[in-house]
Amino acid sequence: MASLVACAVAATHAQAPDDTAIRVEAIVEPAGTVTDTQPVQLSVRISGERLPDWKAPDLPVLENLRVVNGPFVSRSFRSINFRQTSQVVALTYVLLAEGPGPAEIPAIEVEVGDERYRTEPIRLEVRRGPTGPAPLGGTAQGGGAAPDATGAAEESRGEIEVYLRAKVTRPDPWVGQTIGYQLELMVDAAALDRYEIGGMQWLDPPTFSNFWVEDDPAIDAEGESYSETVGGRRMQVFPLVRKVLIPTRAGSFTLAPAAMRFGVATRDRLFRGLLSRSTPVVRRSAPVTVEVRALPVEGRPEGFSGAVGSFRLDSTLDRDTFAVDEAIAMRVTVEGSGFLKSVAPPPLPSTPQLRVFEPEVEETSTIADGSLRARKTWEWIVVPLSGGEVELPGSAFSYFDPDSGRYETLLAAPRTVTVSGTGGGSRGGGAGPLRAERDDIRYIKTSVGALRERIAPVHARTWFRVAAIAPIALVPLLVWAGRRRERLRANRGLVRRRKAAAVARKRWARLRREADGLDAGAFHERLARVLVDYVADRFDRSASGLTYDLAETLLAREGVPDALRARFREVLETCDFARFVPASGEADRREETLRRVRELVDGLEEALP
Amino acid sequence: MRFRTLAVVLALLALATPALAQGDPDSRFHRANEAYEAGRYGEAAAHYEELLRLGVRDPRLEYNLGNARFKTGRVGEAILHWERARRIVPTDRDVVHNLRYARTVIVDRVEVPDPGVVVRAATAVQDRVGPGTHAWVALGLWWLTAGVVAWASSRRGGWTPRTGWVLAVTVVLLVAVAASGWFTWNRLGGREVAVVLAPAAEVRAGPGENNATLLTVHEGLTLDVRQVREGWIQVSLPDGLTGWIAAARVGRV
Repeated sequence: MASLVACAVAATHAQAPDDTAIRVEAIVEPAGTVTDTQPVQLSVRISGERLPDWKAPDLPVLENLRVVNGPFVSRSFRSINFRQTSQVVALTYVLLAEGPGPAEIPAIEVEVGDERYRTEPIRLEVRRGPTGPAPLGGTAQGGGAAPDATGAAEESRGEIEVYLRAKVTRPDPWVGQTIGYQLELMVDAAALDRYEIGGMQWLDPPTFSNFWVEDDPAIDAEGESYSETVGGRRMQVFPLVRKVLIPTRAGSFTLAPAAMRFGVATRDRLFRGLLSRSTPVVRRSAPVTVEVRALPVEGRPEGFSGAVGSFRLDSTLDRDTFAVDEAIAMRVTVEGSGFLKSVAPPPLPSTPQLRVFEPEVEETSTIADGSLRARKTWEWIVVPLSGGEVELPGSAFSYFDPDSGRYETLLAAPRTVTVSGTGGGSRGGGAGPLRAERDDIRYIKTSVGALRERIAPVHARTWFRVAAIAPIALVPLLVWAGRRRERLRANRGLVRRRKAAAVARKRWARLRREADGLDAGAFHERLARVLVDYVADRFDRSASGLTYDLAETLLAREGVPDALRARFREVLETCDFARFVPASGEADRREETLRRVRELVDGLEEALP
Repeated sequence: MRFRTLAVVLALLALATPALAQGDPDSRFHRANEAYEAGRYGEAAAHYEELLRLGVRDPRLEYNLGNARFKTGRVGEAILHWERARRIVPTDRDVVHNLRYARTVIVDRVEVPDPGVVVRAATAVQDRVGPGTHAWVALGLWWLTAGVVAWASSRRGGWTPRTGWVLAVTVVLLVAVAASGWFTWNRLGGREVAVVLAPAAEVRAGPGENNATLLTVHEGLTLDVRQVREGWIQVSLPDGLTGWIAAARVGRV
């Protein structure tokens, strides 16, 4: 290939600390003068008779150059008579100049074995590469294009002329106005039959600061290609990138050049590409300057929110009949050519008759022929608060028309509607169940009764808490009481002793009630039995065998005082006397004896343990 | 002379009666209801609020004030007062209906995942029964459980398989009713909530204007209160969204 100028320049000898057979050098190709669209190959070679372990170097900071690929490592050996005489390791980097001007690769430090080696710095001069086709008279092949102002002559020594071109549809848009941006690959049409271009790779993708960017994803480079004659040469143009840009502020802005690398190969029809060879080519587009104009202040309407383009306004309601408290969906749609994303909704105020809620927003946009078409819909929920004639407010939308250079305002007129205010109830009269026509809140509570200052929930009231805690104390108490009762039931003697006084008092009371119907003998016999039975119960003995003497002995054994025992004996003898001498048992004496028996039972109950 | 004295006393009484009546909460409540019935919702709301200032916390008062506020277009305040009424009487059908209706006219809709038929049915039953009835039934079951334990423990041979089954059933019922009551109370009245009163309010990532706005909520939306910091409330929505809202823009139930 004619353009391949094999010039190993600036090979630097290794500076080994001692005089060994190791040699480290840096080589660039091409050397001397290059263009900013020309790949530069940097090779770091380590050679020697026998290479110890080596480490790939960390490249120093390059001046006006950057690494776009690598390192690729290759090894080679040389031997004579099957004996290895030398060994070479090459680390190859692909560099690209950042722009015109001087460039430098500083000394590279390489670690081989235990030693460090440094290469000599290499300097290059960078000129601007081609950013467009050469002027008329240049050749598409071999000899290269005639030199142009940007120094394209060096680059055009390739076998095909290929360029990147960036263009905008309008160089002086207004702030907010949409402009189309297109990046194209231009190829010499005459050479297309013989060459193939592929393996495209971005080195500098296009960037757009100070612009809002809308992408056009539907781009077909092959299908949308077209021919164009540039400088007398017919070029085939392939669109690669298409975007819609919206300037966000006024000023002069330069769209940075985009750079791309691709491979150019000869068409090898005979062997279906087997013999073709691909040559890497780098191309950079020319910068594009856009002068963005500020929107005029004069005549700017109130409520203008930045829409620039050409639009139309439409306002609709979702129904024809209206009722109080029934929501109405009111839609306002703005549609047209321009950018609407940043546009605020037209103001729609609430009125005493209407409650207006915040709008829902829906937005769609499409890119067609490099221009943006947008549609934005705001939907308000509007609720009439009263019946009768109600005016639904109109809406206004202002935009700047870049063609006329003036502000325009679109109006949707207010609409008066009749709102039915007599809703509720049922519309009967037909078949089927009755249904409410509409819903509403329920009526206030007018029930009489003292207003309360505080109503605590049931579970928070004191009595509830007491009732909830009570079983914890009650259960052990009930268990204790139940078990005690069981125990008592099991001990009949104990029960008899405990109940002796109560039983005696009961018998005494019954005798007193029945005294009038008894003769003196029977009365005193039963009265004596009250006492004797009491003692028998108290000592858990049989009453039948209990003589007065035995009873007295038992009482004495339990420590009953002598006086009390004497009274016991006396009462019993009195009863016996009255049984056998009825005259002594007159009514007044009966009362006296009854009283004494009662006192005696009480006294014994106190005296007995 | 005596007749003149009597006339003066009667006249003073006649003058004093309306003044006394004006300070009487029941009379004021009655007059507020009359104003509402006459369509003077603002006046009715003013009377109801005066009663609240006097310390009255009757559910009828909160409910009627909610109605009056709704009629004057202040949906946020209406929901706030209805929520307060529901705290006191969670099973009041009117309160539940009004809250449900009010939430159909507010701007924000919160998507809550469907809990399923079983949970929906259980919730409907709980709503109808209410935490008060739950508390009564749980108390009865608690006494029954305690009675069974006391009866069986207080006598020899009291613990039989039958007694064990009875006790197991009562304990299971008690736990189920108490748990259901706790969930019902927590859902209807136990959790702390706040209602957005401003037409729109920003929910921010932190307690301060310098934090990013996560979303904008609108009047009437009910939010769960998680914590309160000076001038800011951390809130969460049923769908799990959380953030901080200025305390001045909401009313705490």
